[in-house]
Amino acid sequence: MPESSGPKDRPGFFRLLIRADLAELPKARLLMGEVGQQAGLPAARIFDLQVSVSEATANAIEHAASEVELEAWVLADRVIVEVTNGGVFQPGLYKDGGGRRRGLGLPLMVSLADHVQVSRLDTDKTQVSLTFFLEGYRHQVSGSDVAGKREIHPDEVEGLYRNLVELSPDAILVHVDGVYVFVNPAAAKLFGACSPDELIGLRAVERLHPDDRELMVRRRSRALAGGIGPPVEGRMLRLDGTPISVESTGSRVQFGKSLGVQAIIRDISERKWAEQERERLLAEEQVLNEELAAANEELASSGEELAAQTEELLGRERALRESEERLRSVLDSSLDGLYRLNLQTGSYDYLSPAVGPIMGHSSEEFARLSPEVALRLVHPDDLPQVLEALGQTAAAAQVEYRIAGVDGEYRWISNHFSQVTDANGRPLYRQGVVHDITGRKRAEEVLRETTGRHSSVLENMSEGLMIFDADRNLIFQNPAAARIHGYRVKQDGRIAAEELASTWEGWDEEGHPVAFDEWPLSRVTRGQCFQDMVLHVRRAETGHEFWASYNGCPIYDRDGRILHGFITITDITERYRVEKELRRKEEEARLLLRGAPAAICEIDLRGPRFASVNDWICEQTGYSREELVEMTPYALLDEESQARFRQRMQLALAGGSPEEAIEYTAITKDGRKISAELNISVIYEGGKPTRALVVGHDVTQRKRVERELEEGRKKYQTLIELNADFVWEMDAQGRYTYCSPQMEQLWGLKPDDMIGRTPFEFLPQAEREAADRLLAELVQGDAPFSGWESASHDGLGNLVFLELRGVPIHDESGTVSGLRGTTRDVTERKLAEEALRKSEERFRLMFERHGAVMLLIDPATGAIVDGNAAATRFYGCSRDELCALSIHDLNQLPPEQVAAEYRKAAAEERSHFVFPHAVAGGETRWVDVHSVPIEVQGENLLFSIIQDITERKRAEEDLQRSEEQQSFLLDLSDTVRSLEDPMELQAVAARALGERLAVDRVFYADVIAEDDGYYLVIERGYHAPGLSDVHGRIPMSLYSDRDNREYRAGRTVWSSDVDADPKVTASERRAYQANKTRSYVGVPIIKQRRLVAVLGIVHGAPREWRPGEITFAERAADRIWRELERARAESGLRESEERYRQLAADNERLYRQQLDIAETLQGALLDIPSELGSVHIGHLYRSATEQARVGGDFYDVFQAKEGRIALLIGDVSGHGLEAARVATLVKDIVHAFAHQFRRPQLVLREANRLLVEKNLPGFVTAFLGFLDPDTGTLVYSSAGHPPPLLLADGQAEPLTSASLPLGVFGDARYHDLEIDVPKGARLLLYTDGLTEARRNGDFFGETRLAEALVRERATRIEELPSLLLDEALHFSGGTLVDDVALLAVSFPGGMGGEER
Amino acid sequence: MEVLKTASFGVPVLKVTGDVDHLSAQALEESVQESLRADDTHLLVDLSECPYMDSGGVSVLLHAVREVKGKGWIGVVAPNRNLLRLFEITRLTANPDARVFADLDEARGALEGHESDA
Repeated sequence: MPESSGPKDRPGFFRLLIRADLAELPKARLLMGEVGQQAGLPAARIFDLQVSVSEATANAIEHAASEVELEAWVLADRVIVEVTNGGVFQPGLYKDGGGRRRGLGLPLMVSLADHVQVSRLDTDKTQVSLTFFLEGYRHQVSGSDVAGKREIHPDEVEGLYRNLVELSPDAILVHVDGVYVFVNPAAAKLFGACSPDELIGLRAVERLHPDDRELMVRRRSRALAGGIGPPVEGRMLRLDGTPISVESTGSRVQFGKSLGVQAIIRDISERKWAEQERERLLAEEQVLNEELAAANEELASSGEELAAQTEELLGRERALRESEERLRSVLDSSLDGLYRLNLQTGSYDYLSPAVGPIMGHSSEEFARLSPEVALRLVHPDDLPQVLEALGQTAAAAQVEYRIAGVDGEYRWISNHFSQVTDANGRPLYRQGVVHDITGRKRAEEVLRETTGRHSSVLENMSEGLMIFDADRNLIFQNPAAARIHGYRVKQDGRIAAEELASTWEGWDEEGHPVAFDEWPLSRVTRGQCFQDMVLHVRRAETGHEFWASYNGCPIYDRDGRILHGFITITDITERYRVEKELRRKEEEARLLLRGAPAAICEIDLRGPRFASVNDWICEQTGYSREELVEMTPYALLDEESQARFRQRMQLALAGGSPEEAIEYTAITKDGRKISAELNISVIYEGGKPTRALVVGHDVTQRKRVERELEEGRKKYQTLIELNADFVWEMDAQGRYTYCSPQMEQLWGLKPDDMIGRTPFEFLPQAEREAADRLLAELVQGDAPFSGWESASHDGLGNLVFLELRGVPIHDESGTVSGLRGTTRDVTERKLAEEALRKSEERFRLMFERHGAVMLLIDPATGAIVDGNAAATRFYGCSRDELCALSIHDLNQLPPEQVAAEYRKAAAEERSHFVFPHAVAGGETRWVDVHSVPIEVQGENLLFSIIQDITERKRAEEDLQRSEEQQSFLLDLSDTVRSLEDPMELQAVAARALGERLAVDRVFYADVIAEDDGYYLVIERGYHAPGLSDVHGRIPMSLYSDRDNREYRAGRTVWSSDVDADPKVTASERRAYQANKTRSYVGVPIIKQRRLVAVLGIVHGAPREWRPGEITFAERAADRIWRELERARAESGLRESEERYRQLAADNERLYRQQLDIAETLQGALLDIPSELGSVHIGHLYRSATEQARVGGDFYDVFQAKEGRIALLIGDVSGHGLEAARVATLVKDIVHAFAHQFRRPQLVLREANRLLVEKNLPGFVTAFLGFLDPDTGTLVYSSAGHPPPLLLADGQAEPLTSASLPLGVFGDARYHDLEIDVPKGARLLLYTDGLTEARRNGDFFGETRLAEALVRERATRIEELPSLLLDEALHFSGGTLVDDVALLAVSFPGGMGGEER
Repeated sequence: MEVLKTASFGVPVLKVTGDVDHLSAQALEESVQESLRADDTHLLVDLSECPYMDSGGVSVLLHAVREVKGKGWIGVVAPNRNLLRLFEITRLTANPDARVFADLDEARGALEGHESDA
């Protein structure tokens, strides 16, 4: 059930508990309405309060376990609402997708409330705290717009969520593309990082323990695909590499624009450790218990002795009491519980202190329990056993049972006891030892489970498993083993070896019987380890046979004795059956092959010997089958074939497949040779090659034919054709009689076509005659020839080069009938030689004609070996003269400096040097020498290219100068930037330039246009010391037409010496002389196609203007112009600012006039009578500041319907004319309705309706009361206005009435309250500016006001308002934050004049 | 909260009476979706009698606006000043597919203009 508490319990505090159900939301809304009204919030803010609290509540409901708690405080300046739920407040941002309804809530909440804070409470609850400042305090909220209209800034929402995530005690990490992009502080702590930043950017996979990586990565990719699974356990790595056990939950998140995985990670190392520790302890406990049990047995028997001794002791009590006490103290200190129960009295003679706690009771408690009662505590399941044990009369018994402790939990107890009887067999007492075996029992349970698990594996294995002890007894077999062997499973699973031996017969694979001593169980218990031992087994009893494969291995104890033998069995009967079948088929095939008309034999590779031969082989070789089987296959082959065959066999055995048939020569019994092609294939058995199947064909006949053919072809044909050269024969006339095939390949001519033709027809005309002559000589000379070179055409007409050699051919008579020889195509060699020659020539030409200066130098002496034409020109001597010189003659540096330069170049790994060389005309020029070593006709020379870099050096110097100039310009700008006066700027710039260039005069002149032409206006220029100043207006007509023309075209003019300058006319020269000008530069400045200024540089002596200096002057001119423009613009701006200031002052005046109007309006508004009938009135209005002299406060006292007096006070939100206007309006409306209605609530309702219709900005608070002066009854209603104070009988009470301000809700309702005003009472109406006067955030407030009202009860009513205001001002230190209106009314009666 | 379904000048009108919060928004959503299934171009939601709405209701309207995108618009009629402020904060009014009308007549004017455009 929801519970709600309102102001009656504690003023200003509200509490509401609701179920976690969205249907409960209206309750929260209703409460917020109440809270808002209590706080006097305007309707719009109440709405905001309702919405944002609803959002927080809805969110809490979604995540709450069962209920949500709302608490609200209405404070002087703010409302605070806290929404608390039990459960993690989940940020929507980090949720995948999210419902439609979720997205907006939180942002809205943040936007509407002035302050939102989310926090995690210690109780694991989440709390959202919302703050709403009351009107007039909202400026406390930094950044919030007072109009309350704020758009949601995404950063704010993000900040809120981030806050939540940062608070989480769970480690939260987000990784995108496998890299951490977000890490909260808890995660940083978990991974041992100082701050989250240390982890950001690291690869997530590296934080996973290698063993668990696969699982966790798989889980994460599933999360990325959108799946959410249960938490996964695994290990991760801290930054220092130590592993931590964690539980991780992954889900997909939108992070920025990327899709990432959010992992929530919980450290479970502690839990894991605890689990392991528990297991270890359980094991330990078991061992301990076993030891303890053994010890106890001893103890129990010693207990008997003790009993006997005690008997004796009882007899000699006094003498031995001390001894007994000593014993007792030993017993008392035992951890086990020792007792002796007197069976005749039913009480304990002795009960050691440990018994009680072992049984789960305190010692005292347990001592009080009678044995019968103790029996009732035994677990019902264990009771029969206990009773049975107790009933035994045997000397000693032991029973384990559960017994309930005082806490109701059962614990396991072991009780060893013995009963002592008297001589007649009557029980005297029972004595024993108890101890707690709960731990052991639990361990046993665990063990039972584990064993169960293992045995289920064993039972379901298809492989048989048997375990033998060292005596060859079968102690375990799993069902598969039992199935294979058909052993009966006995109760204890044990079968003696002898029993096994008598039931079986076994054979190995060859069919040899296997003795029992060689059986797997015998071997393994002897200590042998074996694999794949195959046995054929028959059970004697049933005759059942099977094949099985056994693996065995023995298990040794610590001393090396055999403890057990493990044997696994696989039934391979079926496999053997298949193999047998296969063998039979093979046999059939062998029989078939025997009669085939080809040589077929099987060779056993172990011999090798023939395993089988067919009839054909016997017929062909002349050997009988019996003879062959005795022979090795090699005996049939000749020597060469034997080698070949051996090779093939080796190949086959190595796993190769010698498929192709190869020829062998066999020798028959009678010595004949047979050629046969043999095909060999190898047969594998058990993975090993064991036999080869050979199929042969007699190829003797074919071989003989082939041999004859080959001999016929022999001769030199092959040789010729294998030759790269063309081989030919020709007759004495030079006609081909034979052409070898190369002809076609070499020259594209078909040999057959060429027979009968002469090669000479392909020769160029020039060669042909020589060839004819040579042929004739050769025929006559009758001698071999070689080195005959000739050019010829090939079949396609290309030119080829040939080299011929040959011998004469003689006919039978001995005369030369022709020539036989070879021709080699040497075209390529010829072409290469040609290319080389040309290349050399080209190099020579290149060297000779190259524009660059080149020298060939002998590096040893420095002698110049050669130089090109450019070199002769450069050095100004002929080639011969040059070649007579040494490089040292050219180099102007002394030899030691040259050597130093060489060393330096070597160190810098450069191959060029800079030297001054003496060149033509006796000049010295700087050259850059590049040298490379080259080899020319076996001679090592230095090839040097010499480049004149004098100009470059000069350019570099110019560059340096220009950089200096640039920096000067920058300095110039810096210097003049601070100057405001354009004239001073001109002077400073001119001086800087003049000093820089070291000239007599520099001026910057504006160009102005007058009726009679253009003038230069020089204000302040520079002149060297000792020279006169020149300033004023200079007509441009004074300058030459040429200069004027150039200036207008924007071109700089200059002259190095006007006296020598041919462009300067005589009259101009005279003018210059008058001005003491020998050289000058004039730079025009053209802006918007108009000549605006000229920079003049003048010197009284001739001066060379370098190009760099001209450019420099141009740039300086431009710079000065820019700076001047800036200075001029700034000074213009200053003037215009001054003008605007003037205008602003005018505006201010206007504004004040307007204020005066408003004040007049206000005055009218506040003009009320000082008494009305019997009622006396005091009133006051004070604005908060000078700037806001006009406010929206208003009040009135007037005659209403039926002789009643209306008291009205109100406050319009805002200031200024608009507020004053609204105030007037409200006052008029209230007046109007006050004459119509008797009830204030109706007046307010109508006024509200009208104001809402008029859609005014802001709102109005108001208080309206109707006083009946005759009866003293005051009926009043309030519209969100601070309650007036009624002073009666020396006490001030507020006239409270909660309601909404006017002008916000069209359907707002107001309520009338009625009081009887005692005679002589006073009523104080005021606006909140009074109570809100503050000092350091502390308010003057209603209480202080009430106190002041009581204190000043004797003050005249007319003076009361100003006194109260003084009190407030005194409190606040003289300042007001808002306007104050005060209306004090005294009611008739009482003490008359004093009341006034 | 109650939703009354009517139609004016051929456009479906949902008149909402009462508060729209996270719970009642579900009922409003059903009505809006039902209406959009019949006519997915235009829908008027008359809020003249709806004094209160929170993000539950605004979400329904935003969702509806997305559904008619490119086909027409969603018109909210006569929301009070508080609701209008809420719509501004949540940028519903900034959406070109959402219109605010002072009354049904203004909505009619906009619709006729729309038709003459087409």
